[in-house]
Amino acid sequence: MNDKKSSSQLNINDFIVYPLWSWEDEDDKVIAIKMAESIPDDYDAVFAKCEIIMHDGTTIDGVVSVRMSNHEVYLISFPDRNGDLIDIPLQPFLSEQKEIQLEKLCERFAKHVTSIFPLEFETPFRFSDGTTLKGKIMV
Amino acid sequence: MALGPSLPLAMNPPLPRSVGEGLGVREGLGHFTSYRFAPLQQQGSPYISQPDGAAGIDTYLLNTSPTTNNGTAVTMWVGESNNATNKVARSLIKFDLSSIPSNATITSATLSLWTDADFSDNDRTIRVYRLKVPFNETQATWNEASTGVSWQGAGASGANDRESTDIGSVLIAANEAIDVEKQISLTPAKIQELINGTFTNNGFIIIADTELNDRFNYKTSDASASTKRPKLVIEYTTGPTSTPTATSAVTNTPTATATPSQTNTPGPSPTPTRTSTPTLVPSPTSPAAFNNATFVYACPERSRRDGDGKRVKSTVNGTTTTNFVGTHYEVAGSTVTKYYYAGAQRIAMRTNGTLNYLLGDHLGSTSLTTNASGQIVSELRYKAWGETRYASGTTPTKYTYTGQYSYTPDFGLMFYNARWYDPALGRFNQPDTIIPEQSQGVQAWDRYAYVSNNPVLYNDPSGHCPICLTAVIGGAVGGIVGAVGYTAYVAATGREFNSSHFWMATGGGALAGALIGTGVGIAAGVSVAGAITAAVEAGTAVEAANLACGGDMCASEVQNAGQMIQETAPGLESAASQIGDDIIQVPAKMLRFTQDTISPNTKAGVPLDTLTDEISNGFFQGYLRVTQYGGNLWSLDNRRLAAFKLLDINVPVKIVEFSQVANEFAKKFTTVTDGLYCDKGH
Repeated sequence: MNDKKSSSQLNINDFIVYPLWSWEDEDDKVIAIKMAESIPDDYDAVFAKCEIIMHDGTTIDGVVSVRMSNHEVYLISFPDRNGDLIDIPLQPFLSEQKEIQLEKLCERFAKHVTSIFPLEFETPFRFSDGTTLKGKIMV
Repeated sequence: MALGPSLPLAMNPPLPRSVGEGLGVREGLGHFTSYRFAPLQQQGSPYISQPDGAAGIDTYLLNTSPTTNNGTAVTMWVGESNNATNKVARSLIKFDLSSIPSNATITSATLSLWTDADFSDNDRTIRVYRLKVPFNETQATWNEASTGVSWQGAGASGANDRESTDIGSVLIAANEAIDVEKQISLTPAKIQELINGTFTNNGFIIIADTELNDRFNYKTSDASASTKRPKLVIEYTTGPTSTPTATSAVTNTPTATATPSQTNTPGPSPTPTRTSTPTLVPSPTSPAAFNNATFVYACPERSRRDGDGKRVKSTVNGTTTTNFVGTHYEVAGSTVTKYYYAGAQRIAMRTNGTLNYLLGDHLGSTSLTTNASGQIVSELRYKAWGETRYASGTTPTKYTYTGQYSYTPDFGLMFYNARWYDPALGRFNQPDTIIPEQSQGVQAWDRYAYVSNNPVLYNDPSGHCPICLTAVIGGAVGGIVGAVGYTAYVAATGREFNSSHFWMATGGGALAGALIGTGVGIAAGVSVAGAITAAVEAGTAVEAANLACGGDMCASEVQNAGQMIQETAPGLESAASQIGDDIIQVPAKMLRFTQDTISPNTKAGVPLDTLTDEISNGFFQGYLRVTQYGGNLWSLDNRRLAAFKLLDINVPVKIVEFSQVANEFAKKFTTVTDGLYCDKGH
């Protein structure tokens, strides 16, 4: 498995091999983070595998993107049928893009948006403060 | 590099002739030379409108959100969603048709929409209807056309809301591709009624036939992909609107007459040659609006103030009179326009107090225009020989292709100082009065040829420079040659420049122009972006420049700087050949970070300073990818942007469509400062 690739090529299967990825600044690719315990804060963002529990109880593997300066989740990603990621941006500035992606997501799972959200997630890793990242996301 | 098409003169179409065209006279006491041209037969002229979010009027109505306005959405929806029950959407759109003459005869009209998202299971025809009542883009909802004004029927379905017969339609397949153009031919007679006023232009509503599992989203004028916003193209013709005027309108006795027509045989100038002032031959592409044009030039015989043959006044269609002070100042009626330069590159303009930045390509063509906040207000793209291949928004200047003044909307030609250039033909309308030298090669033997038929690499700012490598190119690749150029310049002149010199000179100083253009300014650590700010803030920049130059001293310094250009030309040429058409120069401060933080060092331990050194020493030859979203330009290459911002210089960028990088953008968008700041690591 390649541990360095362009962000558009990130697939849910990459997270099975390397559960954490981040940006490689100099060539704008993402690179696997190879470490065991906590995640240091010297990244702009990390893309972390997580377990997602949809509102209707469906459980799948997904990805949360975490801004490391404040440990906020700014993006949650779901695998499509090919394992490619459907990115749902959570920043207010990208609300239009979010709506477009939500439509794709609903189509992918053949669910109404209220069957997916609010959802719960939890990462299998600990951050520098010793905590896992878990929470609830509403759209 | 492939040469552009060489146009054999024998293949040129015959030029139109009309009474009195091309009469040249000298007016008054010989201080000015004027050329006046009588009307041309008016011809068909396309109306092409593809406005941006600021000018565009479009929105959609959604029955499941009946009181929600979607006027700022980047997509507009048509049809019923296949992932919900009874979720129906209809789109409203309106174009400003006021620029089409009321007596125009419409021959065709085509509305283009670009698909954006697919929520359809069925092939479906979507139809365009004329609206009977006006709507407000920022207020219209499923229930109301504007605040407090309900549709007769919800969703504009009432008989008083829209016509019952469509004026155009297109079939959208269930598996229609995304990001493709769908053209809808509109009935010319129905558009005609909007033009002549027999039916009020309230815009159109677009509705799917059955509205069941057939929704597609289409990009709106607010979409980031400027080439994929809704577009309306209307072809029309008009008859002559005025009788050709007698040449007696110019009362002074002609002492020299310009031969009006271009012959099919190259050879000596058809004009008795001695002057660098251009004569004018109407182009076969002259558009409908042209009636006549008069130009006044400062007399070349008088070498006193302004007696340099420059254009000082132009009158087009008898009403639009513009007075010019070089290329720095224009007055047209009560409109005063000032231009600001960083070297040879025109970088900003102020029209009656309103500031716009002008961003150019490697030939100096005006590509993007932004407002004072850096938001894009218009965009122009060109074919190789200067015809416009794409326009968005309203570009506030007529300085367009290669930075030259365009009269193409008026009579099809561009003003290249010594001559007139026809971008439709890719040729000058007069031969170069400078006899070619053997060293210029065989291309120079065709004295009507433009830039030796290599318009991708060269421009001709004077009309006498067939293979000019522009100072703009110098600016673009200045970092590459700047160090050499500056060292040589200091050696030659013994003078160094600090930023204050440059800031003072930027507004109009030829010295600053030559130096920054050759890269000397950048090498000297002079901030181009800072120069922009200084130039803009300095209302008396021209006067300051003169003070900085110290009068006649400027001439020798410019000459020295010009010599630097010649000495560094091979390097310029090599660098210029690596710059593609779509790479433009943008001041670093206009770009925003998508990331919140970048690392101070690469994974290999290379610090950011090393990158800035590479850039300032000219070893950086790439570009940054930039995309437009929400009216701003966002960088996807944040580390490199940080380096350019540290240097405070122009950035070579390639603008990529948002749809191509939407996922990367979302992954990268970690900024919490609206992109204005990026922390350089922990």
